[in-house]
Amino acid sequence: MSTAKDILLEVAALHHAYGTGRATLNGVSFSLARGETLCVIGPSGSGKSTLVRCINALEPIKGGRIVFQGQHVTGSERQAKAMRRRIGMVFQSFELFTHLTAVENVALAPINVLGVEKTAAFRQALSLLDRVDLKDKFDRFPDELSGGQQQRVAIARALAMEPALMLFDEPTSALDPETVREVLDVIASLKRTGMTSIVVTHEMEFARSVADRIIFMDAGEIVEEGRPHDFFSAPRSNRARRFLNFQNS
Amino acid sequence: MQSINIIIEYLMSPAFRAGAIVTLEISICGLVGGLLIGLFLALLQQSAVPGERPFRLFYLWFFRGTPVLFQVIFIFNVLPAFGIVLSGFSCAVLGLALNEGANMSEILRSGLQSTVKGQRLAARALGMDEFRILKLVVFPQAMRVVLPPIGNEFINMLRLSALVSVIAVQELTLVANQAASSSFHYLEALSAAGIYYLAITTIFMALQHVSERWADPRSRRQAVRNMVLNDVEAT
Repeated sequence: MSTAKDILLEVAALHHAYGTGRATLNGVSFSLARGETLCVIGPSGSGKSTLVRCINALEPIKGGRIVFQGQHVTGSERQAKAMRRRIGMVFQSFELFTHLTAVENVALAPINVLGVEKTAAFRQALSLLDRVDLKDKFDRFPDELSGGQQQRVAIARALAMEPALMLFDEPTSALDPETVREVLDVIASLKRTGMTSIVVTHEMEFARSVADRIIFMDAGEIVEEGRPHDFFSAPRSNRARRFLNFQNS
Repeated sequence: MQSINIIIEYLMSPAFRAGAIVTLEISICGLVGGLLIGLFLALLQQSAVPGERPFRLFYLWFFRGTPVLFQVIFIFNVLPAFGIVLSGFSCAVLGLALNEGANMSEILRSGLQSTVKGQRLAARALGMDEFRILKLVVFPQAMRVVLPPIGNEFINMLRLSALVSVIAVQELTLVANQAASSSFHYLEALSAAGIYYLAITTIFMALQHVSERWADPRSRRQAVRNMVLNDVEAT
């Protein structure tokens, strides 16, 4: 059991709805310890992506609270901005800046948001590109890179802000099967450096081998939460069992 | 042979040169004014300020629904009745800019929308504020989309500028027409004006070509390489 001091993120009774529609998140609560890798799985439309967007204050919430490093995420836009600088986010469709080279994509926010000097920012960007094994592609534009390469640049871009938490929103769902591995390997390597991550994913094998904990969501609620071994070998809920059977078939 | 000498004489004459400069000034001021108005309208649309939509639609409806010539004459003759007396040149620029603003807002809107929503979201997730997102992500990408149509608008503006001869602005067409009717050298005077117009258009098209290449992100690749090789790796 982790002590309160180790808690990096706490989500409590989180509610969210798009407009006046049906609730997309209906009382979600969990906490995340520093260094932990949490995989969020569940069927499409279960609220997984909305959850990570709320944590980064990219979606306004209807109720509950999110506390990151002891501070409420749900404050003013100013506070939210300060928060986002410490939370890295990787999107399903990469969302690299198409008018910039790989190295510029990585260095843009450090230079313009953190005020890092340009040469220093480029040096850091190159070493991050090296870390995702793309140093030789530093001068390529996004449309000159494969999907897997683009996603690795996107991971480097998020890491450049030196975040305390990384959010991955289905990072491999838009990739060709043959490039999924290289992206998952990078995410797994982050874990070894002590990074705290939340990974929304459909890659069950990855979740099983890399996650410290699994959250299974359905219809805006956490249905089941547990260690990967327990969850995959003996899911307690019917919904999780049905979902896993469907995945395996 | 005689005609060619007269054409050259007209081309070199101070009156024609002054007329060409006035034409150029009207076109550039009209274009810049139109750009500012268009940018205002396009950003207004994005801001979703309450009441922006009826205002914007009225503007577009009015300035697209009436001839530019009518607008220029209206400004020149009606504003003084309200105590606003502007020079012919100012009226010409104002008329063309107001009209051009309607066209520009559409062009700029398409440019601003060319940055997909996801990239803005990614920029927000990196902690950027709205101003930085516009400056660093949206505008550079919009530039590529809007430069070619803006170039076309300038050439349109250059041609429309001849209309303001009706309010006695001494631009190229009026100068040429006056010279022709006093000397009866219609062929020569109007040819000289035509040469000026085509020369301005040609120079401008060359500038447009250069600026489009400048806005092409690929043109920066070498600079990025140099930056990395010289500054980053060396230190």
